[in-house]
Formats: sequence, structure tokens, C-alpha cells
Amino acid sequence: MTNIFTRENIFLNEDLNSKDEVLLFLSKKAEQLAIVDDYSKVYKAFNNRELESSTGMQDGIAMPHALNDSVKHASIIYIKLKNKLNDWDTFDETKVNKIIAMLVPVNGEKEHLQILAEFAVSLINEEKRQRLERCATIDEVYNFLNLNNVEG
Amino acid sequence: MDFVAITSCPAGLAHTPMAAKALENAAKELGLEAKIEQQGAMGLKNEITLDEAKSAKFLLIGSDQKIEKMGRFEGKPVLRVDINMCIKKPKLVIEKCTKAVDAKLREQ
Repeated sequence: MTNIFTRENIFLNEDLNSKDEVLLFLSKKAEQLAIVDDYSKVYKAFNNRELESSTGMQDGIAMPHALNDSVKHASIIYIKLKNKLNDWDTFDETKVNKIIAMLVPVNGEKEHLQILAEFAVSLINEEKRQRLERCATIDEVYNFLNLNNVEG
Repeated sequence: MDFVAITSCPAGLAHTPMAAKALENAAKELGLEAKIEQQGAMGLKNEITLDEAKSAKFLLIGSDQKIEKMGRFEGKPVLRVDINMCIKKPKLVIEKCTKAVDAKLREQ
């Protein structure tokens, strides 16, 4: 997962109180991390995807994603919130507090898309989702998400 | 082949492979032979051949998107299911679809 996910892409204990605040935060961080050229473009892309259907999943995890030409290289940003959100629909009715965001360039390399896909797939394992909830430090999250990059 | 399935979502990044894997695992657990195709960001993955399509009892579509190459499945019962349900309750989805198709076949 070199490049795709670094320690700088992990944000813990963030005080954000709505889906919109999270998407804006993600977009601005993506620009600061030089993942995207223009935060407003990915912000729009994140929102457009949410309009199609919510990216809330299970056990408080949401996986927003932006496929956009402003993205320079495929990346994952992880946020763990201080509190839980009420306005992000999930399919098990849990409230979102963990956000795994995927940013993908248009015409991205297949290899990277494959990594993102495998990564998403690994989260259908309930035990893994619960382990993610217990990760409390940047190192724990980093190690978990990197090791997790193997199909389970 | 007990059934074939296709998963697809708006961006084809996360839900498509997740639902495919969930259905694959569930089919295995249920002792069913199945092939799951993904129509996602990487194009068609694990594409269902014409022979496989013909041998399958039914086609399960986990998607509300437009599905490519539907010609393969002419004459097959097609069941559309919400992709989130395929991730959340894959076993239940397969069992319900199988029952519905069996009931339909008995009617004929």
C-alpha cells in the first residue's frame, strides 16, 4: 500500500458533526496532502457519489469515494471521529464514527484499483471491522489497515 | 451451476467487489456452485461465459445500475436485489432467490 496509505493520512479523534463536515474535511486534507489539485472538485465528487446512494456500511464504517480527474494518485484517508454522526445512512442502522475514504484518479492504474477493491472486501469480515474500532493510535490504525490489505 | 450473479454500483470501487465476495462466501457456505461477475471500475471481472450463463438456474443482479451484456442470459429468470443487502445478508439473499425461482419453475 505504499503511497496509497501513509501515517499522514490518518486522523483520529476529529470533532466533526455531519457528513458534510466530514466530506469537506477530507477534501481539504486531500489537497494539503497533495493527493488532489483542487479540493472543491473532490468535495463535489464525494457529494455526487453520496447522492447516488449512501456509502455508510456496517458497524459505524462509511466508505465515501471520489473518482475524479483532480486526484493525482490513488489514496486512502482514514478518520476516526470523536462522536457519532446522525446523518450518514448505514445499512445496519449504526451511526458512523469511522470513515475510510478512497480517492481515485480517472484512468487510475488497475493495480491500485485492485488494492482498493481488496481493501473494501476485507471489511466484509465482521471480526476485522471490530478490530478497526479498537485501533486507538495512528500506529495501530496504520498497521491494521496495511496488514488488512490481504483478502480475508 | 446453481446460479450466476453480477454486482455493480455507481463508482464500481467498493460495493461491487464487497458484494461479489460476500455472495461468493455465502454460496460456498450453502454448498452451491456459483459464479459472480463484477461490473465495476476495472470493467468486467470474472466474466460469466455463455456456457456458464446457460447452465445456471438463474441470474442474481446485485445492483440498480445498467448491466452490460445481458444477451447472455436470454430466457433465464433474473432477480434484482439491492447491492447493500448482498453485502449485509448474502445468505438470505441467495436463499430467497433460490426459493422464488424454484416456486416459479414448479408453476410452469
